[in-house]
Amino acid sequence: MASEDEEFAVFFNDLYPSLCRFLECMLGGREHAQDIAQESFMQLYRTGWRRFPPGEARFWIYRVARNRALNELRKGQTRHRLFEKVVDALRPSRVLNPEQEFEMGERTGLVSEMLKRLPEHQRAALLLREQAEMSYREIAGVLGVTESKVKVDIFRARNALRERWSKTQNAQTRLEQ
Amino acid sequence: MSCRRTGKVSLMIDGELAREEAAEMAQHLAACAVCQQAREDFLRLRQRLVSYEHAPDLAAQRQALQNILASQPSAHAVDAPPQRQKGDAARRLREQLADIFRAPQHARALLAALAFVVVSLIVLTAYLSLRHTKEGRDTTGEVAVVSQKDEARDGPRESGGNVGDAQPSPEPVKGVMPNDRNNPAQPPKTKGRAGRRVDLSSIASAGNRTRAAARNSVPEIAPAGDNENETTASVPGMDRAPAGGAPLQTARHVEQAQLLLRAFRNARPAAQGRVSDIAYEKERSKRLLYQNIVLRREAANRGNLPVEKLLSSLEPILIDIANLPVKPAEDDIRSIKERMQRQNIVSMLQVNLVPASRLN
Repeated sequence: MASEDEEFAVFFNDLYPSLCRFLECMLGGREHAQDIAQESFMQLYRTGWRRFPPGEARFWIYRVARNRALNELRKGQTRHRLFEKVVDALRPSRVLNPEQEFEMGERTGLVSEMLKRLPEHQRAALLLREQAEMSYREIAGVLGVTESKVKVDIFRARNALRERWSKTQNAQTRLEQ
Repeated sequence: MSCRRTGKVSLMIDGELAREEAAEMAQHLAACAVCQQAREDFLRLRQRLVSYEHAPDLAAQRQALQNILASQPSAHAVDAPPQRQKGDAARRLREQLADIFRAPQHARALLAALAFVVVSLIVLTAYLSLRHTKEGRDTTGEVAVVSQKDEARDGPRESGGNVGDAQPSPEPVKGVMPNDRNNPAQPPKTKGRAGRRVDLSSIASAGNRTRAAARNSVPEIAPAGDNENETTASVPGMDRAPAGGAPLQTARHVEQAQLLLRAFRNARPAAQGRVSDIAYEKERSKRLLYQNIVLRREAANRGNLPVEKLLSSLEPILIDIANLPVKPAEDDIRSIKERMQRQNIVSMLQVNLVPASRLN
């Protein structure tokens, strides 16, 4: 294996798990997350990853991956069963009450369930902050927005999750009683 | 109940507040229960997101890498999704490996190389463990006097983390305690993670106050003896840990270290032709370094291996930050940031962080 390929392999193995985790949280499905992660790295490799300054390739990958994820969400091509259940549940005739939401969350993961409730831009900003540990400026670069918007989105996402978490905890308490 | 400053709590835990704002927010936080609750909730949410369960699919990862490397990079950007390989690259690799191992001369050479690698690893492991033991003994005498800036003037960058901090001294102190008992004049040294010899006397040499003025204001640190408790009390600005109070101190220390590393990581690079000023981060790192040494040794004495390991991972980074010049080169800063990223040190501190309020 050439030296440059070895360096790319190190970069890939370092970043691939965290990118997959980010995409899984964005999309709600592992399979699509892996597909998009591979496509993003492939695009980087074929474009010529060496031309990026040190550290910049990481932001480029996240930007590309997030855009692909956004395309998938808009096209409605995500086939994950949970996501479809959530979409069905959001129809007016079948809105979940907090107890039902807690039961679903117990089966699928409360965090994943609550993340899906967030608008995509808030979800992306929060995940890039907490999981990818980017600064606000870096997140603004990845998402193509201003820093002010990143600040507002992250705060609103945290508040929304905080309130929803509190409701589901209360629902759990009621179920246990 | 709500507070109009809750939004700044979100900025504060991300290290995105300016120093003055952070200091002001720290004061507000001490008095506002709503913001305290918000901060705790946000930090708990962060822990959940960071520890979100994601079992990596190693087979898929390997296959993805093989597919990518088997494709040809082009000079132009590719917009269309790339075609996936059908395992041709994997088959070629298997055939090549089979050819290598089939030839007897190649097999013998590979065995010899493997034996050499194994022996080298054993020797390296033994050397590192011996050095680690020696560093543990050396640390006993490495308590150096740290020059202290006026904290009210500079203000803390992070919030909440300074509640348990030492009281600021009005006068900085300059001096180094000898490490080598056989040669008291020798300045203490410790080895940084990058293999550089780090002189702890350089950590203490900041400020332009005279030694006489310093001696009048702050008592000199007693030489470190064999008694562990004396070492704890000797660290400037740190009170002796009460029995049962070590987890609380460790939690606060981890929280402060996390905030410092976030602030250091998020510091903007200097504009063209200028250098970054990291005097505040450097000073904080010095304080946290001595605290880290003491807490690590206490954890080792209590047999708390996970905490000891965590603090051992943190220590070299604190040393490197503390040893940077006040106006360092961007390459030095970048190198530390890259090391922080490789070690995932901030995530490790996040996952192990228990809110200090829970330990009260």
